[in-house]
Amino acid sequence: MEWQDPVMAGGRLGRVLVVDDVEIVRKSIRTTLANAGYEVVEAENDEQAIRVMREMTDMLPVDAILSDLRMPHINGTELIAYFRRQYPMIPVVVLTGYPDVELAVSLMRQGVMDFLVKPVLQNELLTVVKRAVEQKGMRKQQVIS
Amino acid sequence: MHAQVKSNGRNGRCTCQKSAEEALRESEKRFRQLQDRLIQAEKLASLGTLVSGMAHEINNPIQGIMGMAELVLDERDPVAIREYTRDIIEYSRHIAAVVRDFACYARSNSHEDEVDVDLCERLAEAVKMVRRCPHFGKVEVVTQFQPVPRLRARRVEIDQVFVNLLSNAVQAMDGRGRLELATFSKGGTMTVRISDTGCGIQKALIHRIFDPFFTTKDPGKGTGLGLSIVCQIVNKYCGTIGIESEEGKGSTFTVQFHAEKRREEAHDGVAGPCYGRREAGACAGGR
Repeated sequence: MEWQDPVMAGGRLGRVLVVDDVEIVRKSIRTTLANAGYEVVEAENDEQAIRVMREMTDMLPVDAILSDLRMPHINGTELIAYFRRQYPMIPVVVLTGYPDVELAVSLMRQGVMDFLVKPVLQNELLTVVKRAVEQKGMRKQQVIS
Repeated sequence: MHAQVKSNGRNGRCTCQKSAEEALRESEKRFRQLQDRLIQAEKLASLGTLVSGMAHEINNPIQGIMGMAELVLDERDPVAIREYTRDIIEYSRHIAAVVRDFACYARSNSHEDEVDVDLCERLAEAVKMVRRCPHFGKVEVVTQFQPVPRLRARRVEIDQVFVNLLSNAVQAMDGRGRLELATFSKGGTMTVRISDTGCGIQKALIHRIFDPFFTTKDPGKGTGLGLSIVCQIVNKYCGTIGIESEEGKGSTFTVQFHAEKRREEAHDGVAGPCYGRREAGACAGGR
């Protein structure tokens, strides 16, 4: 029988954590992902993101993380490092307003799955999120088998 | 010149004095034009840092606007369409405001006349600009603004002073710390104090910080002209600038303008530079 992710059973396609301080960014991503069949949990800063993740009882509370890097009062790089350390199985996608190639390379080396520069079109966003959720499924399956 | 005086007697002396005055006026005029150009050049250089902040300020709402516009394309519910459209308008206005702020800051100072500048208002606007810097991070801003008399000056130049000092303070704190801003007035002296809890300045270097092209930043990260220009602008308006700093603890810049001196200057129609008083660990000033 094919392995089934318990979280994926909640949202039709999976659950995604979206971290961004700008309300309209969260709103447009939330609506886009929800329309496509994902369940979305949101956080507007690092503290909220960490709390949201800790409050969920599952070992792997979400299938993918989509996070901004530079938000007021947040060092996004530290937040990404936290996610990679605490949840190495969950793919992290960075969605940032700063087109910084050096930073992108450095984050990819730290295990970030993709580095998107705002603005991105719906299709691009959905393709990357789909790939991230599938990657998490594959990683988990590898660990189980 | 002496020969002319001798041959023309009294009239010759008048002509000579007149031409010397004209030459002096011409030289003052050229100096002011050069100073304006230098101030403008430094401002444009410092905009480089602010522009990366602008990328964040603009790309974020554009992401939302694009996302909402794509949602509108697929949406059939008129209520949802109206809601998304309202979001698009709201965030388009935000972008327009950001662009306006930056354009105001970048515009040429030489085309602006002197007006009565509210220092508290300009300091608050400068904070808004600097908050957009990518390295602003978790810096806490504490303000204690007491009303101060208005200063007759070019608004863009006062903005440049504050944006420069605040940018330096924020960079010194590397995203963490406390930025304290205070304004007060006593006996005709208007004081603006900017304190940070950043890395501070080495004692051995403090006397050089207002020197042109002196920088402690990595190559390519600073022109070394910022504080020198700040000093020139402050001096131009009969002001003084002083610094106290302790390595590892932070720095405090104190800018003072003297209302009466400035009023006399404006009234006399003296348009040339006014050399500010030098202070310990302070602006080397002047030309």
